[in-house]
Amino acid sequence: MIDDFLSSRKRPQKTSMEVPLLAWGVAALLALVGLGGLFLSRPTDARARLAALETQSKSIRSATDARGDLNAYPAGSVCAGQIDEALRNQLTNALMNSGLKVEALDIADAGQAGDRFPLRAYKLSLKGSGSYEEAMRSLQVLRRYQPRLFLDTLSLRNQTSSVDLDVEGRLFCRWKS
Amino acid sequence: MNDLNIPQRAGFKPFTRVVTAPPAWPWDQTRAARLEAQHTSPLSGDDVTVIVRRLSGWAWNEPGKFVAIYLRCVDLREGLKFQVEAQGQTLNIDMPSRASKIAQSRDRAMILAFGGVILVGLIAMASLALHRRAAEADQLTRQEARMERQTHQAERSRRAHADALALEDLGVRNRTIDQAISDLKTLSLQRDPNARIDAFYWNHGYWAVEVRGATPPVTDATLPLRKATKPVRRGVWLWVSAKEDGAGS
Repeated sequence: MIDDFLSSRKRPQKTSMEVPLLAWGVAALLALVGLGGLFLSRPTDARARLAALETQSKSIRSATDARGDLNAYPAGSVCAGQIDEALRNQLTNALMNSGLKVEALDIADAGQAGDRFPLRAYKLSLKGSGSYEEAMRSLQVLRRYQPRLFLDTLSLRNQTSSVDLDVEGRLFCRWKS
Repeated sequence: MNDLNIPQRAGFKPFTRVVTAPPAWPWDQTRAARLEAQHTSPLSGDDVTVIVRRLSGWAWNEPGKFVAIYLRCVDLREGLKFQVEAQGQTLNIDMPSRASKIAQSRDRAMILAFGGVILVGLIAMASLALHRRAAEADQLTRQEARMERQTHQAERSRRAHADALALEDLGVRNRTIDQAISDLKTLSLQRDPNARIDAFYWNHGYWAVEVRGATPPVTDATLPLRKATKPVRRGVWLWVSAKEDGAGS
């Protein structure tokens, strides 16, 4: 049937150029498909994403070159933002749980620490009394507290049946990143 | 070639007549024209060959015009090629021989096979390309996730280093509770059991003790303690650690 239909149309005359043209056409089609395949085989945004990865990689490499002694000042020594009510309550509760009778605990904003770095200092003062063990437990609480307490003065006075503990020190927060 | 059908032969003029087929699909028109040509053949006998060719192009809802060519004693197996005139048109009739038909069929089969191979190749290439695209996109996504984590870690590390640098600048090295507890432990271990210690002080890396009596509070003479020149209270003396490496500032 298809032959009949085709025979109803005027057939083009065969020429000697027909085969080479077909070959050229096939070659062109293959080249086109090859190029299309190359284009298709990569995500359209691959170049931009690779560039972003390269930028991130450079940033990471530069971070490893940063100075600063993390053994003396491990991560977490400084808090981000400010000492808020939650951090105060957390410390108060931990000290109360140590058994020490906390007579005074004050954390006051002492302003910017130094001129070169964006650190804000908070002055901490603690007065309490209790047994020697309770005083030592409260010191362990302060030791574990983050941000780290940098001690200015500490006194441990013997009373007849207890000890008085006075601690003064500073906490630091990074007030801008 | 058959003797009767040598195109160059003078006087070769087969009988022709025009056949009309009603409007239909082209293949139906051709079949109808062929049937019409055979049923209304002016020649009778088994040796009559009828060739039907379309005279006008096919058109929708139009009758088809064909020419029927009647040949007698022709062996089509050997092929036939001649020209015939009908309705003012010159038609080239080419009836290929059996060998030509086989060759044509073989050529068509090869072209079809070649086309099939190309098609399969194209589909495979497209499939591979899409597969590779998906794999590369997946790899990029995984790299981005890993890089994101590393960037966060690097950012935390950078901040920690910057904080450490700032704290070092403030001169708070060794100003830790750990240091004070360590000094207190040192004192406890070296303490003279007979010494009566009233108080322990830690101040910016130095420590001192208030002791009742003038005797040193420690048994280990290597622990460097200096006695204050005057008592802080009656009978109470201050002993200060003379270490040089514990001072922060």
